[in-house]
Amino acid sequence: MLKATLKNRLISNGFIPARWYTLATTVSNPENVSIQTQTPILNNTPLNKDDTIEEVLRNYNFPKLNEIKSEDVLGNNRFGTKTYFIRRSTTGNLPVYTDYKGGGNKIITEVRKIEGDIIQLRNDLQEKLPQINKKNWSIVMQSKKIIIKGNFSRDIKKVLSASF
Amino acid sequence: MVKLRRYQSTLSSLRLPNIATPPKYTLATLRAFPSLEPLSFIPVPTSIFAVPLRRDILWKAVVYENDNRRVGASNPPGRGDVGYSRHKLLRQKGIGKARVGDANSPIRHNGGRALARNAPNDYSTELPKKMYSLAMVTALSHLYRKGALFVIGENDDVISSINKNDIGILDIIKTRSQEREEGEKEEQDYRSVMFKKFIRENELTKKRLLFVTSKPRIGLLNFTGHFKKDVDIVQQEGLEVNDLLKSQKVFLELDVLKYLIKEHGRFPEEN
Repeated sequence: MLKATLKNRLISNGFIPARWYTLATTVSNPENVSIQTQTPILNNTPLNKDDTIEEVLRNYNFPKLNEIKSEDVLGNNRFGTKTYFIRRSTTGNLPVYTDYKGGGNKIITEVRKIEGDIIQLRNDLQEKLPQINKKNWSIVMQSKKIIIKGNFSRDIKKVLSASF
Repeated sequence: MVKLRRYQSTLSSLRLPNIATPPKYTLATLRAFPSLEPLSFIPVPTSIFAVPLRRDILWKAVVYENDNRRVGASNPPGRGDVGYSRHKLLRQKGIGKARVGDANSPIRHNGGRALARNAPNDYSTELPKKMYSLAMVTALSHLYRKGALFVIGENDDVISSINKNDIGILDIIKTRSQEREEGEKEEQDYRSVMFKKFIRENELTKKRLLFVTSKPRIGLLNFTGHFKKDVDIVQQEGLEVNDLLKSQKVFLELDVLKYLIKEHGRFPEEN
């Protein structure tokens, strides 16, 4: 992330380096490590979250039709019918949260950022976690959330981290 | 020493069976202006054009915008402003009527307003940035799904536009073919006719149209005056969810699309 920002800043300042060096200083035995080099791809500058709008307008072009996979296009894959996906948060964590309801009396576990078939996901999770009573599961269809009565965040994270 | 947890290898039995990667792009037609002739397809991130409809989020954004639009210029007179005497109108007991204070009381016909305030009254509310972005993207996706969204622009795939007057931005300018004619004849300006023709040919009469431009477009502004009741022109920075929801057809420039993805959506190529 830091390297990418640095790279972009250098490029925007007009500095075009011949090659980029990957950091190799944090290894335990530096004598055996050779410096790895990467050739820069300058005609297709990678996008970064901290790019300004001017940079995006200048550098970004929508991909051409032959540059994208047909499975990546909406309608060409059957995503959503009995399939699902959970996106991780921007900090890389699984979107599993606990919350206290009813004046702090009742604890719930919430799974968020679900895309696709939420009912199928609930059924699959129930199969993997037989220790949670099926009566405790519920689904919010509008915001696509799975809510479980009780604190099962550790169990759910264990299952999800094997997949996402 | 950092403890390493390797769920992937040890807990492979826990892997969920029906995982699939969601689609990254949806195709939008790139069109020329003012003919709306389709020129090419562009893959647009699903994060901006294929977001599921959330009416609750749209409602929140609309309320937020309308709250913040209020000027709060009212100056209702309070108890002190009405100016009646502080003298008690009737004595406390022995009349057989209800208890009465002074004439300034808000329960009296001519009394002051309860909870009066002075201008400027701040009615602005707050909404999490991410929620507002989600609302913007939801509105755009809804319009796209309805077929009410037109992306105007050019890219490398386009061979050549068919019509002489077509351009890749939302503007009404003197095209080259017209300038050439000027040399021969006296100056003829077709620009005022062009927008009228655009409305007529595309069957957009009496429809609320929204043009979102990346830069100020003087030509568009000047020659849409006849239709100013139905036509709104907004620059990308000033676009609101209200604008999108109130209009029947929306026209975006390609650069506006990039701006909106950067501001409210997510590029699939982003790392």
